Amino acid sequence: MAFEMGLEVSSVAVRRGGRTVLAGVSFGLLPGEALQLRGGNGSGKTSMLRAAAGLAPYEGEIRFRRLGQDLDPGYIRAHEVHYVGTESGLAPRLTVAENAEFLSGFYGVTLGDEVEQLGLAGHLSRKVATLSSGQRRRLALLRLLINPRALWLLDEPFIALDDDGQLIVRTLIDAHRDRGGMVMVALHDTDDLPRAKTLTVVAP
Amino acid sequence: MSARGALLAREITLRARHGGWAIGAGLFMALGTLAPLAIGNEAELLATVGPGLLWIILGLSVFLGVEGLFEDDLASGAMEQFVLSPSGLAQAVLIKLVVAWGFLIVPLLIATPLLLVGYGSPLGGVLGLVLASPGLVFTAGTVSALSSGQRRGGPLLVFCTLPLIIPALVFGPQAGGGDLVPYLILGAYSLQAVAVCPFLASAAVRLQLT
Repeated sequence: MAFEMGLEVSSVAVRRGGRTVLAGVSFGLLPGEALQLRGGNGSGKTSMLRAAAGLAPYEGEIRFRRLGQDLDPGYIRAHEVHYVGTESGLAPRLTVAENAEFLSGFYGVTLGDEVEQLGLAGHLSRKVATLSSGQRRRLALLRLLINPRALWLLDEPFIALDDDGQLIVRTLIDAHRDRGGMVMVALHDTDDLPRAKTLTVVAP
Repeated sequence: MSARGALLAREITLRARHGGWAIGAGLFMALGTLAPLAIGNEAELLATVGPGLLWIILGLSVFLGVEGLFEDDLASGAMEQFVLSPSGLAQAVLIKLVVAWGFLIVPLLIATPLLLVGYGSPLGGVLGLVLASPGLVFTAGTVSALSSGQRRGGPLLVFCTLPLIIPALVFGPQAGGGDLVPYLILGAYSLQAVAVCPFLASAAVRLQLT
């Protein structure tokens, strides 16, 4: 599967609790490109990701484009955007296997060896609440593996992950970009994403 | 499996493990059984006040049963994933409300006839409960969505929901007589709640996310 969607962000501003947390952000992404958002705590990296996902109200324009045509943002966010935030999006009271089974049903796909690829084959019967934060973050990546979508929005994807886990994330991102997918990542200064554009956001 | 089926199976498993429904059902049975000790064993008095008492206890049980209905999924980020899905947030919220209703009401349907017989009250009250219960659960569930993440969300839930369940409290105890009107009103109460509440609750969840 090859993705052909692009993203244009123009003068985006996000206000939260009456305070502007992000202002004047503009950039574009073409198929296969990645953007790393950098900036200190509270600079608005997460707000940018959430605005792109439609999870935070924003001013300005976020346009999804394919072959020069504007696409319906509501449809695109429901079908072509993955957001993996600092929370896993998993049910803590369900086991790894139950969460995986839910995701496969939810996205209408058949599970293969994706859980094994994430290094969690030995934890299938454990409840997610009992996993380490790194293991939870690995399992949160399952949706990226089983449900291909054009745009990935990843908030601090390397946090809490060991070297193996970080390698898995980098491999997934590279494979996604090779298929024409786009990635927007909020990163700490200590992390780096090779071959990615960098946008430093500063709190207004 | 469809997205709807997956959501339903997930929610049933989560509700079964959560145990909130058992607390609600347990409170209903415990208070319903203990109430005659306080009221006294005069048969005529029990038959008169029993249905009204049961409806008040039912309201309390529903509050307990739906408290925190959306908390876990909001805290875990699951609600964000439901927003970013073709099936949408409203469907996920509707399924949560339907499953909450099922878990709360099924045990009460077993307990209510026993308690009504014990009080010497007409068994038609059970039909009233069946008709009004979706309205009660969907209304309280919507307020639960609004109060999610708030400090002292429980009392907030009770005080905000009480005015909204007054129709059930007024007409519920009247169900069981020969009059059809209470049943019709309780049914209408539930119909409007089922039609409106999933959208209100999903708007409330969206508000929490932003």
